[in-house]
Amino acid sequence: MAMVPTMITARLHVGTMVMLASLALAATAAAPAPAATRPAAKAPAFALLAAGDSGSRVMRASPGRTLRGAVIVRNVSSRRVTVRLQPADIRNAANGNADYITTRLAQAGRWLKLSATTVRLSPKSSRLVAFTVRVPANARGASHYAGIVAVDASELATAKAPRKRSTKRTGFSFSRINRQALPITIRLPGPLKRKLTLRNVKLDVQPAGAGLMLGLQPRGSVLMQDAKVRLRVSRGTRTILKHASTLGQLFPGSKLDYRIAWKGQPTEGSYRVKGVIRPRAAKPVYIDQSVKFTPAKAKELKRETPPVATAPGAGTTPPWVWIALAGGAALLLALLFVIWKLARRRPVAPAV
Amino acid sequence: MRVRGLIEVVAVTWLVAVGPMTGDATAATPAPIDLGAADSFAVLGATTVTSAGQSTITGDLGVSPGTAITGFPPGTIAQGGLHAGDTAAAEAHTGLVSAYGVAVGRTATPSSGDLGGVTLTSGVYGWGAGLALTGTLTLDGQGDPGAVFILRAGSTLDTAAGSAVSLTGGAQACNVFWQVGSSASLGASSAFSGTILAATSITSAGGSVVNGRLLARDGAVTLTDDTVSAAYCAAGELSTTAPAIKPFSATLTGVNQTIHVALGAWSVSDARGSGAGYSVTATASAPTVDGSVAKAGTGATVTLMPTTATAAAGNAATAPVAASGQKLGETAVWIQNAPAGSGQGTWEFAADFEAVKKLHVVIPADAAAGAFSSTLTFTTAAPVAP
Repeated sequence: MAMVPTMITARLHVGTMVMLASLALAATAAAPAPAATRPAAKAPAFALLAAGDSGSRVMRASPGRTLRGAVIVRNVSSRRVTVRLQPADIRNAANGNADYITTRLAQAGRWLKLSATTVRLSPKSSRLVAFTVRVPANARGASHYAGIVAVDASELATAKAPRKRSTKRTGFSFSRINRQALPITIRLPGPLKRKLTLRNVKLDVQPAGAGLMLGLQPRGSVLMQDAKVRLRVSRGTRTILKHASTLGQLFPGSKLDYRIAWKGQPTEGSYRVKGVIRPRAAKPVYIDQSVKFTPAKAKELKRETPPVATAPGAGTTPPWVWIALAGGAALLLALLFVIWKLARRRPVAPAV
Repeated sequence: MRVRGLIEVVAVTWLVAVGPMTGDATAATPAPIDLGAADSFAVLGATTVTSAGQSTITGDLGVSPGTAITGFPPGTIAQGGLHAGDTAAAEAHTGLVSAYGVAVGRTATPSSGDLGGVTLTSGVYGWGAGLALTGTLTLDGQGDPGAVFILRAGSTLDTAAGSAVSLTGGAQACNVFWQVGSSASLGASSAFSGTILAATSITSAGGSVVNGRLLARDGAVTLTDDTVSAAYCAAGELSTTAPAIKPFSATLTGVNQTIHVALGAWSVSDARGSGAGYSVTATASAPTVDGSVAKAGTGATVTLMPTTATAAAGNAATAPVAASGQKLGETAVWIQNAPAGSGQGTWEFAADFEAVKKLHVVIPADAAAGAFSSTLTFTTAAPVAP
């Protein structure tokens, strides 16, 4: 009689151990999976500051003169950091604001010379780096825009390292570079003019979906700020899309294509786009145009937005985890069944 | 026993299943000295704090382990409280003891002579014996608001009547530390900057203006018609992290396919205190397979979907604005924009989770198998002045 509970316990323990082992295996594997796909934000390594103030820098000059300034590179981390400094041109980002270009300098970035382009910093230390701006004698009277870009040298090295080759599957890897940029405005005497023109209005398709693309051309001698965009897209009497946004900064000389996301998918046909762009201190640009969503565009949209495939290494739970979980569940059921059976057994009469 | 066994199963199963999920939830200027809880104190004594006349304190005033504070009122305390031997004072005293130890541990450049008429740049300076100031000492930050000055006196610190500590080149009083081996005394009408960490006592002859702190580890602080304001650093920096993207692999299918990839957490912190605003832009280099753009096929794209900023605890500023989904290319697109007057403080962008992944990669049908790679560049900058 005394053997029965002992046997149950023994069976229970064996079942428990097997099941727990399976569950432990599954849980341990399943738990870190999301963590592995969500790497923690890397702490900032460095900061770039304008010496003497905390924002952007305005330097007044006349053609032919050389200006002097300095930036501070600060290591905000607890490790040694090597920072690369580069002069940059500023042009329009595709949707407004500054895009810092460090290759093939063609504008005011060429005027900039840094006293050091590589700065090695011990933890929590900072270094002052002087620079000069040599304004050409033939520079036109306007505001010219340049920048100093700082980047962690180790990130640059990682980005340039060759990737391992694969023959069967395609391995995907993205390097990331975290840059800090400091804008410098070089103001030369002359009238400050602001003008914005609309090049075109198009319906555009991208993997993110359809969108309305406003082709803009900022002109003049100084950047434009806070251009407010208000527009409505209609088809017949029906309003399809209403949009309000603000373009941060528009730099003269470089064009941009400002994209407004379409909600849902457009259907084939003609749409009327009516609205206005009002840059601060410049004449507004009125929009009243028709755009067509052609069958070819519809086909392109379908091609640009293909079905979503899963990225196995990027967050899905490995199949063996599911197998282990299923095994664990089966064991649990079996265990419960055994308990149920034993509980229904009639007690054996003691032998006389 | 059966019940015990079942409880055992359920309990351990729960622990095994839930446990791991709750677990896993980073010319040189010296580092400033962390004052710990003493940071909020403008005046802190160990035995007594005594004020004669009308002293004005901005910040906390306390004493610990002693409890005696006299002269308040008529002395006044603004933006702080009076802590006579309470817990806050005790914690501040602990912070002071620790900070003093840290200051003593800093390797100093051996120095000598009176500080009057001297200009110092950022660094740690040590005087073997007493330290005297007659006239004006200039501390030059050389344009760096984070420049730190640590001045160590082997024994006393004595400033003459009318002496001054002048800050130039962006130097801030919050980054000036005076470690005094015994006692400090401020001459009448001194204009003093920085935090005094005195081993014994601090005495003012009267009428001094202190932009900093008077912290006495073992003794008393004695004031006479003084003005003491706890100094805080005015400006930090604009810094950012970039999201991590874990490598992954996929099988080519012979047709165009979009793969959604998880972005890691990232953040932007604007501690400049200027409210100047900023923008974060992103670019992607042309995708390549085994280093060849052609092998990546026709129409390989990388698109970044919008990410909403979450304010760090206690940040009441207006959040930066997220751009709509943007195809990334060689020309930058802004993904977060904080116009002037917004985006101050720290903003966090959560890591993607299973159901929502914000990096959309289109793999063309004609892509070759191999190592697909692209470099994403995130740039943070203040707005350009017109």
